[in-house]
Amino acid sequence: MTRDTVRITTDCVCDLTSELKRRYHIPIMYYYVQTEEVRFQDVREMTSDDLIEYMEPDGKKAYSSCAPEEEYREFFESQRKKTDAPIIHICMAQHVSDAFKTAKEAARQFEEIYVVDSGHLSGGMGIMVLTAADMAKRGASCEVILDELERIKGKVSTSFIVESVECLYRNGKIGKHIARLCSLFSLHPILNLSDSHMKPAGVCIGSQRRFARAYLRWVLRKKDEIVPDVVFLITAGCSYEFQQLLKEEIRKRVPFKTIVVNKASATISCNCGPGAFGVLFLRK
Amino acid sequence: MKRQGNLLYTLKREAGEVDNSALNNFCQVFVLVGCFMSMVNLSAHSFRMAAITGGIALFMIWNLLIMHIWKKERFVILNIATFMMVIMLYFVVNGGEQGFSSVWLFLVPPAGMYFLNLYYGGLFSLSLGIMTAIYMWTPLHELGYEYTSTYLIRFPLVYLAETIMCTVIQYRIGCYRREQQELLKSAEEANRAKSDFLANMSHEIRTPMNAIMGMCELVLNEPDLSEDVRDNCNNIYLSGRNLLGIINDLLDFSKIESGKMDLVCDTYQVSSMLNDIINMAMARKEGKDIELMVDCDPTIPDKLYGDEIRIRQIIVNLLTNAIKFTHTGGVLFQITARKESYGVNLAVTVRDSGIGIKEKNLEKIFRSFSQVDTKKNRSIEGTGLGLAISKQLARKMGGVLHVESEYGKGTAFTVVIPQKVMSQKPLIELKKKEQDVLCYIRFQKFAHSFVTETYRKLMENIGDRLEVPYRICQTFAETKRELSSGRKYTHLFLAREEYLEEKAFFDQLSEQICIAVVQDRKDHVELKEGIRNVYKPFYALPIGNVINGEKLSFHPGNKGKAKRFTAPGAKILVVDDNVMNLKVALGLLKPYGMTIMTADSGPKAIEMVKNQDYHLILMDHMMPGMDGVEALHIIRELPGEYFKQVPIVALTANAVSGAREMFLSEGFQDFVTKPIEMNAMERSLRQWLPSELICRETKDTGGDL
Repeated sequence: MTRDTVRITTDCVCDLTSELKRRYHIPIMYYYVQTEEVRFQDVREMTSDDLIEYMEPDGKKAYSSCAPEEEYREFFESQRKKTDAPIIHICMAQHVSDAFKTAKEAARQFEEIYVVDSGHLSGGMGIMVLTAADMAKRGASCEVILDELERIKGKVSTSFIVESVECLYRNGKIGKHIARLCSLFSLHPILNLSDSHMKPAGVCIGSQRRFARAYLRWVLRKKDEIVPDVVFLITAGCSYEFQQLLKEEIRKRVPFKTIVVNKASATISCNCGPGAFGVLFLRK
Repeated sequence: MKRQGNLLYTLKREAGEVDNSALNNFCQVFVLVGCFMSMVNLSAHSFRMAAITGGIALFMIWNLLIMHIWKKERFVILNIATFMMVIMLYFVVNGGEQGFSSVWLFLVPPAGMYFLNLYYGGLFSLSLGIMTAIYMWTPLHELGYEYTSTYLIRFPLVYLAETIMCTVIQYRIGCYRREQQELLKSAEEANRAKSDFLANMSHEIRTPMNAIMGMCELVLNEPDLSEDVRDNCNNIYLSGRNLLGIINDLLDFSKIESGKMDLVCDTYQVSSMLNDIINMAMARKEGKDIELMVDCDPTIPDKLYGDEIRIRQIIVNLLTNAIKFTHTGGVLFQITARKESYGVNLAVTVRDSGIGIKEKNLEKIFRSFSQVDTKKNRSIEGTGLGLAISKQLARKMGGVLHVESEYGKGTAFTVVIPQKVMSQKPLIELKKKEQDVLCYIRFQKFAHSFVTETYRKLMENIGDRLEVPYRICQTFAETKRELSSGRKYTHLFLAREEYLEEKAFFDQLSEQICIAVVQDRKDHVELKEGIRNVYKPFYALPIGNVINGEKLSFHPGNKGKAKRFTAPGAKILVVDDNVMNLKVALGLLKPYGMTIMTADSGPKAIEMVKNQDYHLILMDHMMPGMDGVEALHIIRELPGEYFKQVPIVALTANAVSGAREMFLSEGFQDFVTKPIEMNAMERSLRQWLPSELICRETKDTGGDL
């Protein structure tokens, strides 16, 4: 048994780096990625690159889903065995994934396990997890952490720009004709998380570098409102050189103290597709 | 290129993107439009036009039906073409807004092109249509919304011209795509030619390699060799093995490149595979001051179904790389299995405390022929194909292989492969659960933090994994205290150094509880009778075996080698045109005590088979004059039941894809590749020699060739 005041747990879709997970001792619950033949656990068994390699050559399909209630229950049970402290489990936006509902149902059987809808995904969710973990490390009580999470929920900026709408179309998120038009005009939609819903926030046009700059201009607008501590740059199937370019561009626009670059989980990648990336941070 | 059929059909052929359903939908829309126009004309008392449009709709329905029955899309295309022509005529004859003609003209061609997937043509047509409309509407407005004959003729002409332009553009796009496809095809062909060349070269090299290694093995088997000769011979043999490894890599690579890599799936035992892999890794590690640690999930089902050889190849490759690039610390080999509806996901992670890989190089490591950081790793040999092959093999098996690394700190490769489960029996099952295990190990003795931390985690998990009460002590005082605490420990595991420090105490204690000392295979100390010896790596399987009171499979004497049999009553014929290969085969088969006859050609073999009965024939494939397949057919066609049933095993260096299937379909009973792998040969002998002739088991004196 460890002596935490509060234990923070989350789902693998938070896209925290291994180093951050280790540093804050954050136990992670997995998602599943279902390919046309078999099923993998996200992050543990299948990475974003694996998934893109699987989908790209033959246009194969893959879907993601959260773990069933029983497995969430086992996860909570194993955490309960390790600590008596209250547990806060932070989930992906409830209108984007079933994880919140499932985890909440599973947590009913345990005392002092609080399931929180982050209202975000990927690094946006990661920012909330890090905030909670940092507060827990400094000895904050469960109530204070929950209040703080509720407070910052509306301040986290979570958005992604999609290079190809093929995956969105394959997963039924957009219609055939919209997909055709996007591919015809080289349109790259920006997907934004607000009120736990994923909504299109805009469209950029042109080549990779061009739409990347347009997106960064859009997402990093109103610089004075941005908390310049940490920004997450989450990419799916982007080359190292492109990541570095994005990093430079971000640095030029806002002087963030830390830029965390990480690859998206396979769950995020199978929805956004290769070439997608997001810049996620906190606003004041 | 010769054009076929009408314009749309040509378009479809050129663009190569139209599918039947798009055509069909488009045609159905036209039918509805035709019916609608007929009704409009009826209501306007224009019976002539109603009859024409109704007739067109019926004609199109008829064509659609024919298309559905005969599956000939040209009828649908005929529909579309007819409709377009009629619309055009309708506009010219009937004119004006009365028949909604301009609407159809604006919408139908772009919509048609869009539905037919001719995107660029459709888009261009739409924009031209809009421009034409703007051009037309202004003068119409000036004329008080009335058409003049000039405009009536000009409008369709302009529109016809723009449709032709769209067609030309689409045609150019089609040509461009075709050119691209041709270029791609020629690149693929060139690549295939390269792969075939590699495969052929590998095959050519394997044949003389058989002679070199086989002869070397024969020399090494001689008892009265001088040390120098034995050393030199051994070096030739080891270099031969390395060279063979490289050739095999090239062969695998060429198979994968040409998409001809076949999986040979069969039931296999995980424990046996693990045993072989660990033995191999321990041999590779020899001479390096690093720890090989194993973390094995005891609940893995022991019998799985898959291509064991390929799985083993991937794991050995990962372990070899890890050992190669790790100079201090250690290598952790982790194997687990997670249940799924189709069986299990077998996951293997190889983690090391080696030199690591720079982030920018991570993308490159799975590329063929690439070794990253070549300046730093100049001393490390390799083709740079191993990881590329492993990744492709994992993908071929429906799995994934990925890497995580921190430069300067270490690397972790994880391979996950779905496998079917043939038996739910776990890898390790404790016979009695009422055991209490104590483990004494000083973690601080390991100089490297990676080893200390990994061992600590491994030891902590072992108890949970085996589901036995388990306690770890880190000092001798703590161990003594535990032993005298009143808790009834049944087993004590301790490391060699810890044992030697308090030898007398533990020797005496061995009379009360079962003690097992974990030590290296090299420099192992003699233990008091009754104390069990567990060779490193220390993991769940040997622990389980000690607790179950079973004999351990790892002994320095046998090193996991298989037992061999003899078959003095068996008579076999070896056929090969290469005298050296015959000598090698004779030497290798000598320990089996069989009567071995040889033939250096197909016709000679047939003669010998006619004159004498053999229990087994080993037949080379590629022989001048008459090849092995031809000789086999002649033997099979000889009169008499014996000739149809005598087992004939193909013995060949042709290890390219599909070779096995080819030999089996030709009528061979089995297939053994050259250079001869003794395990494969022995499996074949066991299978095809009459069982009553296999008389006794004997310890193997040699190894695989």
